[in-house]
Amino acid sequence: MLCILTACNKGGEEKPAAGPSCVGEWQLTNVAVKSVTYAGQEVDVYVAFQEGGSFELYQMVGQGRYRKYTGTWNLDGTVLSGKYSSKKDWGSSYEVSQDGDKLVLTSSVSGEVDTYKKTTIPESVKSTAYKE
Amino acid sequence: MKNIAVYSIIALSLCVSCAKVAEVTAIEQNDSTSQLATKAVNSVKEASQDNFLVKFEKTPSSEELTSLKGVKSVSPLFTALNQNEELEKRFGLDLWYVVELENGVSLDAAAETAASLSCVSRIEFNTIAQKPDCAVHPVREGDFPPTKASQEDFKIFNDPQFSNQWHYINIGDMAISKTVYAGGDISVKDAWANATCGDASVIVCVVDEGVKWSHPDLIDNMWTNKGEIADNGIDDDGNGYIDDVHGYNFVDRGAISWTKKGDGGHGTHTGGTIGAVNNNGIGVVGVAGGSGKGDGVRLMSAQIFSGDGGGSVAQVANAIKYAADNGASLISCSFGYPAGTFNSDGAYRSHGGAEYDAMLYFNNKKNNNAISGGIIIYSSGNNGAAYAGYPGALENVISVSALGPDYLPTYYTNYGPGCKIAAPGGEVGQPVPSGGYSNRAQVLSTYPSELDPNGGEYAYMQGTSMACPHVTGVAALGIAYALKLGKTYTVDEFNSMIVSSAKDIDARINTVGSKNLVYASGNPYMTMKLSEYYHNMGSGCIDAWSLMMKIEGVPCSLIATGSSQWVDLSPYFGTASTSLTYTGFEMSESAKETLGLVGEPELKHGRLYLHATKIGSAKVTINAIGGGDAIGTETTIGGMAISREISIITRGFTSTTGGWL
Repeated sequence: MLCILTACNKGGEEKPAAGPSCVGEWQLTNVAVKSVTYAGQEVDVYVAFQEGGSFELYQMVGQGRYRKYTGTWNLDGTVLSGKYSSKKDWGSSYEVSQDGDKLVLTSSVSGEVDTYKKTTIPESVKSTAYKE
Repeated sequence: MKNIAVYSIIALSLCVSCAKVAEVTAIEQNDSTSQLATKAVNSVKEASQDNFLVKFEKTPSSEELTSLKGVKSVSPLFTALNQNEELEKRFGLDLWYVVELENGVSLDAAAETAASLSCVSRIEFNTIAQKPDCAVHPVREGDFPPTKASQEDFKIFNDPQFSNQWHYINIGDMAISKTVYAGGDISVKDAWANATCGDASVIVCVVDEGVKWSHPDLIDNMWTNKGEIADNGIDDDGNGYIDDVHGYNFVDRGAISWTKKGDGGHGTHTGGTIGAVNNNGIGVVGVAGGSGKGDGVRLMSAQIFSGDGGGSVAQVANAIKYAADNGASLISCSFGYPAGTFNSDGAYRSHGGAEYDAMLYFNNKKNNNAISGGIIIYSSGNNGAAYAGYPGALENVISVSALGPDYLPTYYTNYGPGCKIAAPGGEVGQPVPSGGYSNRAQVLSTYPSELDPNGGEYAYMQGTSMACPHVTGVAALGIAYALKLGKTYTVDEFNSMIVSSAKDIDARINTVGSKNLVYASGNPYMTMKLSEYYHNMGSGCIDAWSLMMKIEGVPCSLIATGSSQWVDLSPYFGTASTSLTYTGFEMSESAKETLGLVGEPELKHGRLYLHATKIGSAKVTINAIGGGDAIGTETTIGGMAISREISIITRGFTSTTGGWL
């Protein structure tokens, strides 16, 4: 468990062979709470958890230009939490599980399960995003 | 009852001559109970004595036309085009005729005779416009070399006088005004950098004095009628107008002019604000003037003033129809009746006759793939009155009030009911540190060099006339961007987006409280108390970037379930959303059920409050008023009905930042 914490918080150290690691770039592929999904609205979210403990979030919810949010993250065991650069906490902390290229974040507040896949965030998303 | 029959071009400065803009001519209505009194929509005074307009109940027969007495000719007011016949008939344009009188025939008598005919529904005297003398301040290239400090802010274009156009990018240069306000501009820089600089397929018609189409900073963005051969005396394209290559002179019925005695360069100036060529290494920048790659919007000149003449109802009405028939998506109209001439939309409509019918025609003529019809933008007027002048005050017309470089109302601007939005119009008299005032506090744009003894091709001018084309230019950018993204809108939807794309002014008005203006000598001129402008400058200052963001689409609002939450309406209605007047909302019962709402949603303090219990998504339409507390009606002057659809996603949690995590 200590190794996992170290791997997610500090760059340059050897990563564990097993256990969740959120470092990398991810795209949201599914949102589910008790079988409810947001099928009626296009929700496109990319997040890059960087080794230094910072993150970049690019989201397009419904319509319009991608919005870019930044801040810091922390993985304590399997609990992921973070703050936006405005010092505001995330809306929830998450229980993290990882299966290969799949990262699953389960909200501690609502039980919402957000599934991400490993990806490379398109340059077109990064370059056109509007910074919140 | 009094009717006012004076048109005024509006571009005043701090001088006596321009104060005359506010003069109105009160005309006693004919009190007789004659048919003429019943059918006349305006007064014979200030009108042409040689002709008048009639509107028939239905298409007149030749017998009915010949039944008019004392006339030299009777001819259709509007040029009919086969391809637009259905639209012309829908708005009754085919029923309007011009009656030319024989020499010596009394206008009153002829009109009385016409009014007695049962086939005639309306009589409209062909009101002649008057325009004031307006001071301008010409400048030549290099008169105000940009400072090094400002180069970075203006590097997007290489036009050398760009940095003097604070109305586009206001960096807070105190050489313009001691009270200058950084950011007091139209927020167009981001729109240029991230959205669009224009689109050559978007045609904007400048209904004004003639635009100097050969101006070096305009020529590349002039609309060109490709079907017309210049100066051959033939209507090559069969649109009813001879040699109309860049537009038409409706006063002299011929070539566009700008150098007659009495011309003031007004059309060239307003045209330049909309579409002076950008990034061409000379002069100034236009709001929708392109990136230097031939992508500026195209300017059409519909000349309704020429020298000391023009501006008749017939000329204006025909100019508006010409714009519609020849591809314009927007008309920019920096003229109007002085405030107080009409006190309600109904009063104007009953008077406006042919001009109003032409406006409806334009509103319904689709000339691009993005909008269902034409957008009409007027100046609100320079009378310093607490209501806008008509036609801009009409509920379905965007009228523009003026701000100075201090991001505050100007001393001359109309405000209050009928004013839909504001934009920089400039203001002479704002004190500068070195004493007196600077002409640079006005709006810098193109100018006919023939009118300046020194040959200056640019000039500073001020007025709601100058504010109006800023909004027109932003609207043109909006159409360009909608075309780029493949978005489509109705006229009402697009009008709503324009009026709701505004930055708050009220907070600054409230904070500052009053402002002082000075003479050139530095002596005090006047002190303005600003409280009466609070909540009276329309929806706020036009914000180009905000309009682009709306065209891209406003993201869903994320709302948490389980407790009462509020939706921030500023992405939909601008930063003045908390002080806007809302008239209600529409949300279907199924949408309420989807979100499991507890109780009814509520609009208060510029926010939508709702308590959702279920996770899902829904849409709500919010209705508001752009400019004023009430919408203009038959009996009142007021604002524009605007509505925006907002999308809501409910989740079990949300962050206060709006971020997904």
